Amino acid sequence: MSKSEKKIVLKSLDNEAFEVEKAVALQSQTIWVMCEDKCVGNEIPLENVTGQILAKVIDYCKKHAVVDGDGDESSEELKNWDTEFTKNMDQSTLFNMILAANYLNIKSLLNLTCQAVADKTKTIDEFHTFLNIENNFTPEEEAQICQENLWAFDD
Amino acid sequence: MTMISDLPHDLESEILSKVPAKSLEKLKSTCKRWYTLFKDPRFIEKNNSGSEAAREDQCKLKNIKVSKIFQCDGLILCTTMGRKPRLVVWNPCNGYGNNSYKVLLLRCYEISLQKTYVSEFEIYDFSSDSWRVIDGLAVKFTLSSSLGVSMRENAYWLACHEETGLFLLSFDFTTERFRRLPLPFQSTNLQDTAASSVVREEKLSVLYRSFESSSSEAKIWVSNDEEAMTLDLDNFLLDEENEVAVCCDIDLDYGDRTRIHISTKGKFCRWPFLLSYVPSLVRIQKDTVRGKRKRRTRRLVE
Repeated sequence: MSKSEKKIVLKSLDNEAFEVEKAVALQSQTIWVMCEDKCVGNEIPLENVTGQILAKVIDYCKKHAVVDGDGDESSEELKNWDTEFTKNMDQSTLFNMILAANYLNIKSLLNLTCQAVADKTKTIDEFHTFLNIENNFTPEEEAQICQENLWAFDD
Repeated sequence: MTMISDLPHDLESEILSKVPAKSLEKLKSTCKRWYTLFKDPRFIEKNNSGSEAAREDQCKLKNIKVSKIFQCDGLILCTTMGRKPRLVVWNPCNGYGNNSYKVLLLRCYEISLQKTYVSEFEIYDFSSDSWRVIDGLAVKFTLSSSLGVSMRENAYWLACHEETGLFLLSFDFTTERFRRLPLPFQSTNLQDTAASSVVREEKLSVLYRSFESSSSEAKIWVSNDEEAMTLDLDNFLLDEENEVAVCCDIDLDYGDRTRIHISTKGKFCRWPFLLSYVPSLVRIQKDTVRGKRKRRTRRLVE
């Protein structure tokens, strides 16, 4: 690999271009495979990710690449950074991050964002509204299921 | 705006697998897809692997006075108090289930004329709903009064051989065979303190305190693999006055988290025991099992 290939350009769905270190971008298995196959030049189009989301993904990758590289920060600091990173993201952003992490195949980011959604949802009502799931049980069926798990409600 | 319904189902289950089992139990009436998903063994396993031990548990077992508790896969096996003790298998997370499990029961009794002690093992199989006797070990031993623990497909006890002292006895539920394993310490004094526990369902740990040493320090070993015990824990604090022991260590495998173990010396138990419990969606066949009458005779020092 020549020195000029150390940087890579990622292009979002809405044509926003991000120049990043190759080491940062290669945390994405998807990008890694693309580079490995030499099917792309120095510019990689990512058709499923918007610029707004891609910027956040790159932030995450930069943070994690630095730590893996020189071990400056303790894993505890990194964990705190991760918590802060997802703390103020709204539901829609989190879901888009999950989709992006899945598409780009960045396992640790996928874990982090899925955990964040799970953590932000505490009560049953929150689950129903936050996750926007439609109940397709009949009231009779629902009553029967609730009977099954009597103990779980018995606090 | 992106909703969970916009996510492919595998990503939706990825999120749900990170929700604690107790919450999932309440969520299963949400929709049919989730109801089915929460019963999928692969999902249950995924959910178990990421779950944290229950910090507090407010579940109550109605009308039952519990004497001893054992746990395996988030299921709890209780022995009851009273003149006719029963065995109760219970999942505090969902209260019921239908998986295949086995219960191993030890009966120790004295043949008074010969002044010898006999240990007999019986096994109960949920799938056949029956008890049968298992051939014991040829080695003469008595089990310590600390509770046995189960991990993966095995059960472990601290057992005592008359001459060689304490050793670890394991029972493989798949092959239904016993094995004798060495401990990282040697103890022939019956007044020594020893207890076993399971760390995060994957490592066996043993606590040991010598009766002769004047300090109240106990040591804990954690197994790296199933058999080899290596010292990789700090010491353990014992508050004898309040009969509580606390130990904390760093869980290197799970993001350097600090864990605290608390063990209490119960009125009927001279030795402390450590119990860890992780809620799970796993199911058992029935919510109560009537067991044979259980007799336990303690070893007498002659």
